[in-house]
Order: sequence, then structure tokens, then C-alpha cells
Amino acid sequence: MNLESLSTDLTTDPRFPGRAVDPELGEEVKTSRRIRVVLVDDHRIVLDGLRELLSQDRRIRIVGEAMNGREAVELVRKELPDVVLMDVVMPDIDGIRATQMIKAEFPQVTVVGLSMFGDEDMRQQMLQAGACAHLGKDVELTVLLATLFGCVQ
Amino acid sequence: MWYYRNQTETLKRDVWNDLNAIADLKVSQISEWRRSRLAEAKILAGVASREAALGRLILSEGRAGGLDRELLRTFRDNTQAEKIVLVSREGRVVESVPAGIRQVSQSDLQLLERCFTERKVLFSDFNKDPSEDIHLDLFVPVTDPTKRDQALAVLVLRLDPDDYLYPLIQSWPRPSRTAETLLIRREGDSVVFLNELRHRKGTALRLSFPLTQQSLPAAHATVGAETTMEGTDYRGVSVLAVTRQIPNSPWALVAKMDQAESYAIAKQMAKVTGFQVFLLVSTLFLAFALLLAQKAIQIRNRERQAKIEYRELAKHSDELQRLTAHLDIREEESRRISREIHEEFGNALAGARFSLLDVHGRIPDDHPELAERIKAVLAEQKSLIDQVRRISQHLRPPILDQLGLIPAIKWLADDFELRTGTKCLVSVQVPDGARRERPYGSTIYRICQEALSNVARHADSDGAQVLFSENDSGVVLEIKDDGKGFNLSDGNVSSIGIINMRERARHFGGTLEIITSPGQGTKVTVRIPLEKR
Repeated sequence: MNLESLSTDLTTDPRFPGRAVDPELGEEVKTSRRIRVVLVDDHRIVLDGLRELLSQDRRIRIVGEAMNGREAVELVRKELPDVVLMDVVMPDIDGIRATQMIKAEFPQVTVVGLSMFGDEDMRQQMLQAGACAHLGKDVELTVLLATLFGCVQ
Repeated sequence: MWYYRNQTETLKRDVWNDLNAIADLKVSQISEWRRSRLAEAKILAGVASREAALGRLILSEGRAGGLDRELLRTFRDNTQAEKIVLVSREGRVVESVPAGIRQVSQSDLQLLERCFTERKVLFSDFNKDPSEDIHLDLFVPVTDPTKRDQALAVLVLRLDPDDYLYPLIQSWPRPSRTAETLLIRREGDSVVFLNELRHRKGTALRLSFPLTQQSLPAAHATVGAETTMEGTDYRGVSVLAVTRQIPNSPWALVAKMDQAESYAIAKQMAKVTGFQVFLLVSTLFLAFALLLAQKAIQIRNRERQAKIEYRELAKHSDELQRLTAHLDIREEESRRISREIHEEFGNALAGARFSLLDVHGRIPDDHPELAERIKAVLAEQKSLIDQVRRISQHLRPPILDQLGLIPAIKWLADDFELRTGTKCLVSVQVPDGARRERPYGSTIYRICQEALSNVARHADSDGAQVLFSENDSGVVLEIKDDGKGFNLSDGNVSSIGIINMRERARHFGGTLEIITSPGQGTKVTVRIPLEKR
């Protein structure tokens, strides 16, 4: 971490804009607003990686994980999250259909699409289904976080 | 570091890795094809023997009537055989499908005799008799299970390699201008080419070279070597090649690519140079080859299944429906495999990437060297993800996906020029702010590909021209040549290629028009209407 950035009163880790740091104590300070996130992906390894990665950011709380579109819709009904991070290609009900269902029932819930390579065709379909944004899984962390927070506001 | 000094060697190794994966895939496909044919024949031997015992298969001449023919037709429809001949112990043809085959081919006599005495299913090599096309034959004994005697009769199943085997050998999993696979066998002191070659026609069973020609990869393959080598191919062009034996067969295989092209590709791929990445990529390719081989077997099974179903359908349906059903299955399969590689490999890598990013974020500040190392791994990882993307896209026309229809058409024209030495002009009229989405993109692409390949094969033309225009009301694609043309009322007009193009156009509610006559060149026009935006 860049030491000079600590010279301001309260600054943030550039890699994790949400992790507020108190310069005196060097400890993390709880921020008041945390967004509640549901992760949806049919690959366990992706879910694990995303959960660990996103839980580092103090502004984020992962409230549930689903492995297909059907589970995702049920989970949203139960948890009513702020954001659903939604994979597209999944068995049973895919991400596009699940997004339509979620947006029809809970227009206030934000969906962010996440597919392997974020190709244009898929992006268009996800946006049409009501997703706020669509990203590829090779996304940079800063972009992922910025998109999540940008969409919730 | 050492690998910078040896960059050329590394590049070559990359290409060889690729060739090795493809050669392994081909070997497993061809072996699987042979195994399936033999298995099919064994089942048929049982069925035919049972039918004979029940008196439904009449084995002596002159008494067969319609009964045998009906049965033989059923046999043919459930195998890959193009013709079936029932041969009596006296060596005479009892019945055949199609009817009218009078005698057994000269080249078959020896194996036929063995089949009678050994009562075993036998597979012939590639054969060519005067006035016949190249073929392979399966010999299926019809036996009386209660007697350990000679076979009662033999069914000869004739396979046309053009139907299944040649396409299997010739297809290359990614676009390449020079890559090809050769099937070869040894005949005395020569190596004989068994399939049609990419760069020279009319070679099957005709072209041969002495085994002593050391630089020829095929010569190495024929003497049982499985190598990775640089050599000179049948045209005298420098190539990178790998050789393989096809197990349980007299055949060997060469997968090769011109050195000039391999370097171009290798250079493209060489953005990543770390040794670790090289190892990772090799592992990935190996896994990829295994996955593909497995998938290939699945495809064969499915194709076989599909073929049986599709023949069933043919009883009630017309020629066109059969054709398109079959083609669609293949397109659909390659798209599905591409997607699976994309999903399975891609997601595993993406998941690992998220975990690495997480670890990177948790490294304490007093360990900057750890953070650096994770960063390096992350960079390598990202390039692996790109590799997976590249592999999966190569299974479909990648340029179509990456750059869209118009660059893809231009690429086809370039490719045509390169292959034929004939100039091909492309003109495109697309209004500003053109459509981004072209659901008909692959249709136009494939029709253009087919039409240009017809020009290359038949037209003998001095030039070709492709016009593509698009506006709100529709799309027009025109492929023109000033070659020798043909007579539209000729039987050739129903050729598969043309039927195919027409069906593809019709799929989008479009039409295909062909204007031609002998000596007047040919113009193929596709029109696809669009709904107003």
C-alpha cells in the first residue's frame, strides 16, 4: 500500500475503496451502509472466489449464493438483496430468464450480469432482460466494485 | 532468461504442441470410427445369421426374390454402408443393394475367401479397382451357429470414404491456410497417400514416394515412427509435422502445417513468454485434447444415432429435409463443444482468478514481494483465460464472432485469392450506423464460403467478385465469376452445395438465385428481407 496515502485524515485502500482506514489506529472503521449481495453462478469455484474477494470490502455483505436461475429467484424472494451478481450460462433457468423474473417481481432489486467473456450478444440480452450492467469474468476488481456501487445508487 | 535466447525453439514447440493435440484427436477419431464399423458389422453378422436360420435370408441364387433385397436395404440403412452385396459360397452375387451388382470386386477375393473359412468379420484396406471409386469393404459372415463349418454366405458392406472418413481426416479444428492431415500406408518400399490432399487433387491411392526420402514426414510415419519433426512435404514445402500410427490398422497419420504459417501463428501466440505459462498452456492443451477426444466419441455416437433417426425420417420426408437436418446437427454440435470448453475451462480459471485477487488483497503491507508474485501469476492467468477464449472460438468461424460479418467476408475473399491465385474483389455497401446485430451473419458467411469454394472448384475463372449490400429492407449478397458456367437444367443443379445454400437462405425467409449458362460465368445472388427497424 502506498504510505503517502495515509497522510490524509481518512483514506481508503485504492484496491478496496470501501475499506476505510483510520490513520491513527491503522484499523478498519465500520461504514454505515453495506449493500446486500446475492451471488449466482453454477460453478462452485467461481462462487467461492467471488465470496472471499467481495467480503473483503466492508461495504458489502454476501447474503446468499445460488447455483442456478431457479434457486436465484427463490433466494431473492427470501433475502430481498440490493444486488444480484448473475452468471448467464446456467442449467435449468439461465441468467437472462432469471433476471427477467427477478425484475418482474422486484423491480427495486439490481441485477449485474457476469459472464465468461462478457460478449456483446450476451450483454445486450442481459441489459434487455433488465440488468443494470454486464461484465466479463476477467474484469478488474476496481471495475467490478465501481459497477456494483454505481448500480445500487 | 534462457527462453528468450531460445525463442524460435519455443515457438516451434508451441506449434508442435498444437499439432500433437490435433494428431492425437484424429487418431482417436479414426480408431473410434474403425472400432464402430467393426462393432456394427459384428452385430450385423449375428442378425443376418439369425435371419438365415429363420429362412428370411435366402442364400442361394435365383430364389431370393424381393425378400432379401428388403432385408439388405434395412441392413444398409442401419450402417454406414453405401452398397451391400450378398455373396454365396460359390463366390457369386445372390443379391445386392442397390440392385444390379453382378460380381465381387477383384481386390476383394482374398479377404472374401478368408471370411468364409475363418468366419470372422474382416475390414479391408482402401481399394481401387478399375472403373470403381475408392472404397473400403467390411466382410460379414453369415453362419449357422449349430455347425462349426465354413460360413454359409458373406455380406460385403462397401463404405465410401468420402461419406465419413475423408471429412473426418480433412477437417481441421481451426481455420488454417496450410494445415492438413494425411492418412498413409506402406506398399513395399513406398509410402502411399490414402486421402485427397489439400494442396493437390486426385492423389488418393495414386501419389506415392519412396520410403527412403528422409525429409518426408510421411516416410517416417509409414515405418512406424511417432515423431515431431521438421521436414519437406509432398509439394517440397518446409513443414512442421507430427506422425502417428493408427492402432489396429495398416495406417499411419501425419498432421502438418507450413513453417511459414506456423511461425505467423506462433508469433501471435508468443505475447506470453514465461516458462511457467508455457507449462500451464501445455497442460491445458493436453486436457483440451483429452476433452476433445472424448467429445469426438460422443459426437460419433450422436451422429450415428442421428443418422439412424434421420434415415427413419427419410422414409416419410423428402431429400431436402434430410439434408438440412443432418447439417444442422453438425453446426449445433460444434457450437455446443465450443461453448462447453468456454464454460468449463473458462469458469475454473475465472474462479481461481477471483481467489487470487482475494489473496492479493490480503497480503500484509510488509510483504510487497508476495504481492508482486501474485500479481505476476494473475497476469499469466489472464493470458490463459485468453487462450481458452481463443480455443473455443476457433471451433466456430472466429473472425465472424470477433470482428463481424464484413471483415469475415473480406477474409474469405483473401483466403480464396491465396488458395486459387485468382483475384477476388469485394465491395460492400452498408449505410452509416449499420446494424450491430446480424442474426443472419453466419448464414451469409456460410453461403459466401460455399459459393466461393464452388468458384474455386468448378469455374476455372480469371476473377471473382463479391458484393454485399444492406439496408433497412434487406440484405443482398452476390458472388460472380467469369468462368465456364454450367447448364442450369443439368442434373448437377441439385448438387448438395446448391441445395445447401438455398436451404440456408430460406431459413431466414430469403431466396437464392443462380444465373449462368455454359461459357457465360456464374452469378449467385442471395436476398434476405429484413423487418423494418
